[in-house]
Amino acid sequence: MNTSVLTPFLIVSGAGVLALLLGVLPARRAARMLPTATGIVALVAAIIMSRVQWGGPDETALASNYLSDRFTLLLDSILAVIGIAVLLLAWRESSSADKRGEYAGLILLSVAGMMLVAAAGTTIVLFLGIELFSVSLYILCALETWRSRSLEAGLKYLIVGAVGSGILVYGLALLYGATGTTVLSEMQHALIDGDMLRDPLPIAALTMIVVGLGFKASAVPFHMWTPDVYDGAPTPITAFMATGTKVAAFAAFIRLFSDSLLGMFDDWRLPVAILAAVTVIIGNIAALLQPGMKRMLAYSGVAQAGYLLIGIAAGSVAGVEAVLYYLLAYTAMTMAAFAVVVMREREVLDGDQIGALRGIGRSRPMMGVVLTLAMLSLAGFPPLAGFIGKFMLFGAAVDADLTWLAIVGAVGSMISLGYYLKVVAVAWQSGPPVDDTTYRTPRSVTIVAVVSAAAIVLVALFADPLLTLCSDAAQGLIGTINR
Amino acid sequence: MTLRDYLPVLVFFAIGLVVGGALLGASFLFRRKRRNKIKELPYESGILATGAVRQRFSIDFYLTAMLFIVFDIELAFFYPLAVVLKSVGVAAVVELTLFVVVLGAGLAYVWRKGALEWR
Repeated sequence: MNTSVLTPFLIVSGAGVLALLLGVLPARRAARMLPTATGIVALVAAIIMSRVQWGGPDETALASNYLSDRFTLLLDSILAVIGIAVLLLAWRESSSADKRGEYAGLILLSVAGMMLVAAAGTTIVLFLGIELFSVSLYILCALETWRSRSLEAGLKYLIVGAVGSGILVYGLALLYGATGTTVLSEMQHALIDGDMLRDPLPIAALTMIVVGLGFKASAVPFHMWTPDVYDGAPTPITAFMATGTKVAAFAAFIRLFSDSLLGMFDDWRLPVAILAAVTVIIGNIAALLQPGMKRMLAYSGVAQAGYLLIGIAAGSVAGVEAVLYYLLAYTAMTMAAFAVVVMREREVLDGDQIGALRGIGRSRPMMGVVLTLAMLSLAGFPPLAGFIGKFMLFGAAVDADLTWLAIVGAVGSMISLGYYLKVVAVAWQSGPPVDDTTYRTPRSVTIVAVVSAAAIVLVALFADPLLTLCSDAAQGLIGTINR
Repeated sequence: MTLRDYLPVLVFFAIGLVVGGALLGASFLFRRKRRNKIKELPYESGILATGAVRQRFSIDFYLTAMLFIVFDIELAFFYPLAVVLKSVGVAAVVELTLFVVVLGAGLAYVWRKGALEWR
C-alpha cells in the first residue's frame, strides 16, 4: 500500500474544506479572493501531482479501495482543469458576492468526488464519489437563493438525483449479492467461479446500474431533469455540470462496464447500444426546438452523452480510448460555449437566449470566433476536435460490429447541424446589436473562453500524442481482469 | 451465490405477510362491531386536536436537529474505536483525527455563519 498516491484527491478535498473556512473570514478586500485562489492553487498542485505520478507503476491504496492507474491520473488532470475553468467563470459572479467560500469550497469538494469516482476500486468508493459530487452540486444549483428558478433547479436535481442514486446503489447491492465482493477487479472471477454469468441476479444488477448511471450521465429516457436544471442553475455551475458530471459518469461507466463487468459483455452490449441510439436521436431532435442557449446546450449535452455511450457499447480498448479522447474534446468545446453564455448573460437582459447573441461576431469578434469554433466542433466539423472524437467513436462501433449504431450517430450529427449552425448564423448576422457596451467582461471569463477555444484546435492538432495518452490509460484498464 | 441462495429472504417476507395479515384479518372477522360517535373520534380517550395541522415551524429547529445528528454520528465512530484501539493501531487514530479535523472545520463554519444562534 502506498498512501502517497492519494495526494491529488487529498489536496483537492483539503482545499475544499479550507476554502469553506476562508469564506467566513471577516471580508477584508484582500480576503475576498482567498477561497478562489486557494482552489486554483490546489487544482494546479493536483495536476502537477498526477503528472509526477504518470509513468509510475499502477498502485492501489486503502486496501484496493483507491486505484491509481493511468486512467485515474488522466481523469484527475481533466477534472482539475475543469475545476479551474469553473472557478474562473464564477469569478465576480453576482451570486458569489457573499458566498465566495461556499462557491469555491463546494466546487472543490465536487471535483474531489469526481476524482474519487475515477479512482474507485470498489463499488463503495464509486458510490461515495458519486454522492460527494452530487450533493455538492445540489447545493451549488440552488446557491442563488433569491432566484426561484435556481431553487427550483436545486430541488429538481436533488429529487431526481436521489432517485438515480437510489437505483444505482440498489444495483450495486445486488451485484454484491451476486459476487460476494465489492472489489471491482475480483467481480469477474467471482461471477465465473460462482457460475453466475447466466443468472438473473447479476442481470438485474446490471439493469439498475445502467439506469442509475443513465440518470447521472443524462441519457434518454433518464434525461428529463437536464434542461430544467441546466437552465435554472447559475451558468458557471451549469458549465461545471455539463463537463464534470459527464466526465465522472463516464468514468464510472468505464470502470464498471468496460472493465469489471466486461465478462457480461453479451448481456449489456445491446441495451447500452439501444440507450446510445435513443439518446443521440431524442437529444438532437429536442435541441432543435430550444429558444434558450442554456436549454439548447443541455439537450446538446444529452446528445453528446449518446455519442459517448456508443464508445462504451463497443466494449473494446478502441472504444474506451475514443471515449476518453472525446471527453477531452467535449470538455473544451462545452466550456468555450458556456464561457460565451456567461459573458453574454452579464451584459444583457435574457442573455441566455440565442437571440441575445445576435451580432456578437461584429461587436466582439474574439467571442464570435470562440463561439463559432465551439459550435462547429460540437457539430463535428473537420478538422476540429469534435470531428476526430466522433470519427474515433463511430470507428470503434464499426469495428465492434455495431455499424447500425455508427449510422445512427452520423444521422444524429447531421440533425445537430440544424441547431449548432443556427447559433453561428445568429452570431455573425448583421442588424442592430443587442449590446450594452458599457459593460466590460471580466478578464477571467475571456481567458477561459480563449483557452477553451484554443484547446479545441490544439486537441485536434495534437491528436496523435493525446490519443497515445488515452490508449495508455485505456490499456491499463481493459483486461486487468484477464491477467 | 445464486438467486436461489436468497430464498430464505423471500420466505421471511412471506411469513411476515402471512402472520400480519392473519392477525389483522382475524380481528376484523371476529370483533364486535358496535359503532357510536365517541368511538369514531381520532383519539377515543384523549383531548381532541384543535387548530390547523400544517403549522410552520422555525427553520432553526431543523438546523439544530441536523447539526445534532452530524455531531452525534461522531460518537458512533469514537466509541467502537476506543474499544478496539489496541488491535487496530495508530493508522485508525490518524484516520479518526482527520475525520474530527474536518468535522471541527464544519463546526467553525456553522459557528461563523451564525447557525448556532437562535433567532
